[in-house]
Amino acid sequence: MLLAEGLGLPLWPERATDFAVHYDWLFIYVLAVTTAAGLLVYAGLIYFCFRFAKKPGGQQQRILGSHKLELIWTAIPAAFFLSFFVLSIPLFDEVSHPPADAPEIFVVGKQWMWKMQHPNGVREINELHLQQGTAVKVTVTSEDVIHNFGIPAFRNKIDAVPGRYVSTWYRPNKVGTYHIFCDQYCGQGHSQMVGRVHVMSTEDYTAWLEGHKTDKPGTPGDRPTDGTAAWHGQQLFFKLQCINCHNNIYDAESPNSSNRAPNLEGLYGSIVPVEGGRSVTADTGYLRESIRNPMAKVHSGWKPIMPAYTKAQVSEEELGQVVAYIQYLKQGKLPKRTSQDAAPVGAPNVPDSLGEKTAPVVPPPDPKPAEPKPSAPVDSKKGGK
Amino acid sequence: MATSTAATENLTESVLELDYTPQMAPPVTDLDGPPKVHYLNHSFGWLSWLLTVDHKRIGILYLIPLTIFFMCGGIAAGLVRLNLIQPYGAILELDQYNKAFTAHGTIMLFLFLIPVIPGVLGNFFVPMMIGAKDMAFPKLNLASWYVWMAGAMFFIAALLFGGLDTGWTFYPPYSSKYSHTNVLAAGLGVFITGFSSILTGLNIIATVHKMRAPGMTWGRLPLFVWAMYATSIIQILATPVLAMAVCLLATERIFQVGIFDPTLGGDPLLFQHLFWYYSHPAVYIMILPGMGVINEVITCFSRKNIFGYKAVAWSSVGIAVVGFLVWGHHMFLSGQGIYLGLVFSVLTMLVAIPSAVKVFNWTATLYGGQITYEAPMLFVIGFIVLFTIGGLTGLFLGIIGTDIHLHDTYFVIAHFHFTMVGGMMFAWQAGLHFYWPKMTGKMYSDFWSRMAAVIMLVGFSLTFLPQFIAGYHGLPRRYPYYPVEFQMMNILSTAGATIQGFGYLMPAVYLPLSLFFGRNAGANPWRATGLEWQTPSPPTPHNFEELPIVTHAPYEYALPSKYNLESGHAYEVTKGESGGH
Amino acid sequence: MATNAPHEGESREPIVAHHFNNIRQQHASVRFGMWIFLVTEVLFFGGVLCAYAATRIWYPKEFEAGSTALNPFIASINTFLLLTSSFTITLAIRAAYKGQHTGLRLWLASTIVLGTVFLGFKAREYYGDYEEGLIPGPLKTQVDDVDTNGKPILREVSVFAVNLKHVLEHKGGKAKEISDKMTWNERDRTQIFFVFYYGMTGLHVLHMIVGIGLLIWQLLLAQLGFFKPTERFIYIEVMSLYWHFVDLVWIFLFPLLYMAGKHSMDGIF
Repeated sequence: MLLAEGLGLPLWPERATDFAVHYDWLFIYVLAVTTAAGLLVYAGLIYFCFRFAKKPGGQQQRILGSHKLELIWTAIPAAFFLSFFVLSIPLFDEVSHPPADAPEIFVVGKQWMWKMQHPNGVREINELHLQQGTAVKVTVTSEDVIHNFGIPAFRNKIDAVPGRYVSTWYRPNKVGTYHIFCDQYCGQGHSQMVGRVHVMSTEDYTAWLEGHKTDKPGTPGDRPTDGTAAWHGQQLFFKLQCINCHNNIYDAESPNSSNRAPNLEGLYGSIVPVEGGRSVTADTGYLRESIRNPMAKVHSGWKPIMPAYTKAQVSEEELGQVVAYIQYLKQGKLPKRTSQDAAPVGAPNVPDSLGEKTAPVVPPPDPKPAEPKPSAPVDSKKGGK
Repeated sequence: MATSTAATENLTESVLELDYTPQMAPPVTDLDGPPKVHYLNHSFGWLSWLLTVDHKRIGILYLIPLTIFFMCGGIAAGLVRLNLIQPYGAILELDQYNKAFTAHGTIMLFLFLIPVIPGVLGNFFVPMMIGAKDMAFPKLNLASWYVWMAGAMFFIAALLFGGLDTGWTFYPPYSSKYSHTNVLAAGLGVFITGFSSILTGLNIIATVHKMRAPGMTWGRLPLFVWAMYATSIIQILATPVLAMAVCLLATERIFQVGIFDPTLGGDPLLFQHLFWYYSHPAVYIMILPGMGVINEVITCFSRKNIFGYKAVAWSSVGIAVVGFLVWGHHMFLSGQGIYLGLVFSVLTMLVAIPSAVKVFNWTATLYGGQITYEAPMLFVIGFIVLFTIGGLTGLFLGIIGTDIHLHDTYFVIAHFHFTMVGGMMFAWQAGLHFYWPKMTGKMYSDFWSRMAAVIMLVGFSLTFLPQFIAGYHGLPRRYPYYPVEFQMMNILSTAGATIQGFGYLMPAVYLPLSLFFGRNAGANPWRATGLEWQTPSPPTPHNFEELPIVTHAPYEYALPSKYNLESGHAYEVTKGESGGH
Repeated sequence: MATNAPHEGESREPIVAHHFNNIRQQHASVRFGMWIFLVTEVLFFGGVLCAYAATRIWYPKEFEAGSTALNPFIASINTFLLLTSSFTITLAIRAAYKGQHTGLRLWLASTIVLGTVFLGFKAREYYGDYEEGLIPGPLKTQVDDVDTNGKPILREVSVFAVNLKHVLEHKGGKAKEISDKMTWNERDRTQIFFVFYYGMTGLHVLHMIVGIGLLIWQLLLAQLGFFKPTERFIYIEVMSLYWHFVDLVWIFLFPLLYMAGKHSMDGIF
């Protein structure tokens, strides 16, 4: 690494998260052990090569081996290797489990650009602005081929696989601008699928936000503010006519009542019993799967009548928005089916347009929001997803 | 499996004649010139070569196209490296760059590294080392050469007419849907060469099991044979799965149904699982024969028994077996599941152990020897130096925590080349230089061959050491354009590659020249033990005029024999730890 | 493989090829080689069976429907034919071993006939599938459908899906029930099952053709008196190993492809 200095690269690559520091410690430990091992081999090699070079009249010894030595040099490396593995577990654990309250940034890879969407609706291409000291969860997917969203300064990267949602998280602690690379070969423009992540101090970040937002940042997840992912999702929820079935009208006479499909309020994060006697947690992966392929895991008690939405109908980006909206849907948040006109971007605060003030008439909010139950009475043949 | 009966023999008490030939046959000595009739001159003409079933001639048949393919792959590598001296591409367009690195990767892997040692040295020397007259199935052996050539021609044609830009990994959905290049033709080429690889492996396994000379017990097999045996097991067990993965990929590409493409209902990870189920063991297909060659050469030039015969033999088999269980370490970041990743990571740590044991045993073999430094030995020392780095850096990639940052960077490139070029390529050069006198009966230039070894080592290190640093700084692989701060590292690499390329050209000059101007090598120029050295150089058509009878474990250099001409004095026998050989 | 034999020989000497020391070594090598080859074949089919298993777990309904659309009657006859051919080739080994040359030729010929009839039936079955239009492909058409509101719409689906619907409805009974429960998306996706169906049976047919070719070759050799020295029974034996393997593959394919529809929970109760 010393060689790197003066050859264009810094002595040690930038570290802009705590994770990067933890990572580097493990790396340094492995590097120290392997360097020691390598030097040991080299020392032996060099010594033997000189000491036992052929001499006139010399006589080699007949040594067949030594179980004792072999045992030693099997056991010691094995112990070190296992120590590497054990020490790396907390690191992998750290990177795979975002803090529960971290706002989610949605990243879609596409030949050949990165599209980022902040929870407050700000969208960027190949640029990512983050606030120093604030943890963000990053959920990555792809619209076409496999990409990989990597930020070397954060010592973090994750595959963007089409059809899958994978998450990681960062808490940048150092102001600066760092590379974003696509690390998984994705075709002609692979090397142009690069970007910049800007870590900004709180003031700068707020100022930057001001330039992009028309609304004051609300508490994340509290309500879909104009322009947020959930807000777009709500518009799609009407446009795709999800609301026709997934509504809160409990009227057995109406064709568009909640008899046909579960009310989605409070669904996110709850435990859903599915056909076949199992149950799953309604996480983003499940929600996504249920839209793309509704028959995969049918909510038990409902008829499997939900149509599947292919990529032609709902792009990955839109799907992320719908999922974000379903996450937002706490108990009592579901708008009336008629309030189809969502507020346009840039409109002043019109809370009514989002259906919050018009509380659902029937029935009153369920006291247990975590349990999405088919509230309607079920007959022998039960209702859909 | 038969265990070593040699282990029970007490070799240390009595001094034994080290003569593998039966007593009635006069031993072949260096003083004899080449035999009147040998495998090269007992028949002439194109057809006598193209229809031969002689394993030695088939070995030569492999050698020639392999050399050409290596040069093709090398030219592609040269283009890639030249292009990278400027951050925005020096000579190639984006598409051309992608095709160039794909051509480099696929040719080197499928058409060079996988077949080179099994095809040339395996074919030529496995039967000779175990005292057989030929492979178990000579016609199948020739058939597998034809199959391989057919597949290789398909592959080369696919690369020449339109090219291929998927990388050697063929990941869908890119390869199944988005790539507009010759994925199908190249896939067919891989499929066909894979079939050849299976047949060769089958042949070698059957040969080792059924064709050993009397007395050639499993415990007396030369370690090269053990390594080839382990390689062949991997070949027959892993290659069919690759063939099937390629078939499924082709099906998806032709019929547009979803097996791997998520928009059609498939799963891209399924391909990665099938692909790496083959391709991870495939790197052991590439390196194990190389390790086998190292055993032969290092014992010969240090005049020693191998240190810990059993440990080295079983570590080959251990690598082959555990190597099947670690494919998921290529997919830590692909969302395959956290727990799956942990299991694959710990298994990867396990598979590293036998490789470490081998390196330690080789080094220990030097202890107490009488080492000389002819070209094959220099290549072996280069191998140990480079493979140690290659193996140790592999740990960084196998540890689930450290792989997060290093995945798909130049660190991976450097690691892979340290094992495959620093390891396998040096082992191949060692083997080629070691066995060239036996194969051709001629000796090459001592000075130039030593120079080549040194130049290759220097060039190689200069090429790939900077790539570790670039990789740790985050430079992703397969980037024709890259951030400007990495330019210096790339220039160093390209400079190294130039030196290295020059190094590879040298044997291509002095080895053929030795055919015309080299002195006669004699039967056993290195004073090596082993049945293959008990035949004249070049060997006679049926290798052994009479059935050889084996009475000893291999590598008994320290015991006096009529081949240890120079050790005229009282031998001193040091007792090894019991059972160590 | 079996063709490793020396071609002509008056004396007993060339029975053992030049590179073997004795006949036992040769027999052991030939037999061992075939077993190793079969191991690779198992792995080859293992790859596609893994993919089949994964896909079937993802799409149980589609596999059930696809399987129901197939013709199990022909497949059952074929199973019977193939099992019988395994029996006849075993008799051929016995004949070769005992030096009964007429018997050898008879049993080889009957194995060939049984295999060919199998292929004939298989071709008829493929033709039937072709006539019914159960061929996966990118062709699209439009059908009347209703959206979630019950509003009639035109929906673009693959031609395959329409054909599948017709086939299942024509079969009536349980097949129609299955069909009625399916959405158009599921009908489209049933193509995956058919890819596996054509792929796996196609590979099997390929192995059959190779096997029959080799059997014909051996029949010719038998006619020429190649098997007169009874030591050469080994080539019949390894041939039969291969033939049994092909048979065994079919024993796996038959339930996986033709009976996948019979395993749904509805069918059990």
